[in-house]
Amino acid sequence: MEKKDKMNAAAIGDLQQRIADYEDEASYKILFFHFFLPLKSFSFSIIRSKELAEEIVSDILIEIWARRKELHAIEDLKMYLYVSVRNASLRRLQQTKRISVLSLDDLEVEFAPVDENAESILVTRELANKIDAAIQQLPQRCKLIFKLAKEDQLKYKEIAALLNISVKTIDQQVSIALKKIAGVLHISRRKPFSN
Amino acid sequence: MIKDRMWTLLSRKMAGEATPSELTELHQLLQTQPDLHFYMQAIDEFWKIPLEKEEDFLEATYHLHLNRLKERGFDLQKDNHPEEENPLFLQLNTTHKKRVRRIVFLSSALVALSAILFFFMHYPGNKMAAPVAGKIATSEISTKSGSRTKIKLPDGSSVWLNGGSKLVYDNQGFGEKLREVTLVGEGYFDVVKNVQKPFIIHTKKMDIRVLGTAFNVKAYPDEKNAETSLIRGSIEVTLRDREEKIMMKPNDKLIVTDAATPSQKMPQKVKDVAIAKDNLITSMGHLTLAADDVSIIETAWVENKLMFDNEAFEEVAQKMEKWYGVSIRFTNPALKLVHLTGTFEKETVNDAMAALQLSTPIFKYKIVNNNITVLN
Repeated sequence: MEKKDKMNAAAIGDLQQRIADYEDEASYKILFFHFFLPLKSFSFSIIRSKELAEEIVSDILIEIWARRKELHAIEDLKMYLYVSVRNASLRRLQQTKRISVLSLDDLEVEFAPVDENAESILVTRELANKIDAAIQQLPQRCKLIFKLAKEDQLKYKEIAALLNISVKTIDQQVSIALKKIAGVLHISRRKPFSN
Repeated sequence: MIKDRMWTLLSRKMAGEATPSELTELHQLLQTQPDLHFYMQAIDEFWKIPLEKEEDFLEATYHLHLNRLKERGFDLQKDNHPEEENPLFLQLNTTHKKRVRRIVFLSSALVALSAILFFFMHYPGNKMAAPVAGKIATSEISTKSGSRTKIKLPDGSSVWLNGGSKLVYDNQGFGEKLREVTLVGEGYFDVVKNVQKPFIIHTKKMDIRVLGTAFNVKAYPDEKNAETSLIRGSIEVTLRDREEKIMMKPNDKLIVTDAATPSQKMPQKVKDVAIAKDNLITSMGHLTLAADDVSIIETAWVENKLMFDNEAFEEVAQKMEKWYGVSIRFTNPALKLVHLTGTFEKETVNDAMAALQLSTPIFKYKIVNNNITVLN
C-alpha cells in the first residue's frame, strides 16, 4: 500500500532485469538493502545464530551476482530468495546440529519493535511497548506467520508455499495475532469489548 | 462467530489479501458493531508504521558483503566507491582467505592499519610525528585529572574528554579518506555522519568504527576494563589482535576486561560473555540508568555529573581520582569491594567523601592535601 519501504513485484523485476542485462551495481545494492534484513531475520528464526544467518544471506546474494546472466530464468525473485534462504538455513542446521526435521514451533522469531520515531495518533509510545510485549508472547509459529505477512509483506500464498502450510492456517494465525494486539488496545481503552 | 469472521476479514484486509466482496462484508460487519471501529483504526495504524531502516547497519553490512564478493573474484567496488581504493585494505584483505567465522575481512585489515598508526602516534620521537615544514603534523589534546574539556574536530564532530585523557589525530590525514583519532582515557563522541569517510577511534584494546552516532569510550591505561557505550546510531568494534567484529546497537555497552589482571568482578546486567584465547574477556550489557530513570550513568560526566550506581569502591575511587584530581588509598583491601551509589555535581571532594561515608558508614577516611586514605 502506501508504505515507503514497500517494493512491488514490478520494481523487483525491474532490478532483476537491470542486474542481468547491464550488470547494474546500483540495482544490486538496492536489492541488497531491500532484502538483507528480512532474509537475515527469516534465516535466524531457523538457525538461531545471527552470524550464520548473515553469512547464509550474504552467500545467497553473492550467488545472485555470480549468476546474474541467468537471472532471467527466475520467475519470482522474491520467492526464489526466501526459498533459497530457507533451504540453506535448514541444510546448515542439519550440518551443525544434526537436526533434520524442524517443527514450526521450534523456531525462534524476532519481531522488530514498533519504531519509536513513528508518528501515530492512536499508537502511542506506551501502547507500542504493550503491543511489542503482546507480540513477543505469541507462539513462535504464529509470530513467524504474522511477521512474514506484516513486515516482509509476503502474500498468503507465498507464506503457504514457504512454510508448507495451508492458507487457512495463515488466516487463523494472523487473526490470532491481531486479536492479541486488539486485546492490548482494549485494556488501554478500558471499555467493555462488545461481541 | 461474527467476531471471528471479522478478525479474519480484518487480517486479510491488512495483509492485502481481501477480495472486493470480503471488503464489503467487513464493512457491513463494522456497521453492526460500531464499537470495533476504534480497534480497526488502531490496528490499521500499527500495521502501517514503517520498520526502522537501520541504514548504518546496512551500509556496514553491504561493505562487508562487497569484500566477500571480492573474495569470490567479483569486484564491485571499483566503480561505486573510488574513495575506498585504499591499497592497504586491498592488500591485507587478500591475505585472509578462509577464516569465515563472521563476515570480518575488513576488520582484520583495520586492526593492522590501526596497529601501525598506534605505533606512530605513541612514539613522539618518530619521524612521522615530527613537525613537517614548520607545521605540526599531529594535534594532541589532553586533560589533567580533575578537568574536563570539549573539542570540535575539523569535520564538525564533538568530543568531550574526561579527566586524565588524551586525544591524538593527524592534522593532514584526518578527513582525507578516513577520520581517525587515537584515544587514551575516556571520551564521549558525537560524530557527524559521513558514510564516505568512516570515523575510527583507536584505543589500546579495541578499535571503533563509526558511521555517525553518539557514544562513550572509556580506555584508561590504569583500569582493567575498557568500555564502549552506545547512545544512538550503530558502531562496529574490533578488538585488538582479534578477527572478530562486534556490532553494537543503541543502549548496548561493551566491556573489555584484561583477564590477565587478577579478577575484578564482572559487571552486572551482562547479557553475553565470551572469553577469548588472548586473555581478553568481552561482555555485552546494557547502559545503566540512574535512580531517576533518566540519566545514563555512563555519560553523566558529559553533563558535569559524577555518578555511580552500585559500583565497587575501587571503581568509584578511580572515578573520583580523575574527577577531583586526588589520589585515594585503601588501608584494608576488603573496603575496595564495598558497593556505593551516588551522584555529585557541584560538591567538593570533601562533601562527596562525607556523603559517601554517611550513606555507607562502614569506613572512615582522612584527607591530607590531595591524598585520601580510606580506613576501617
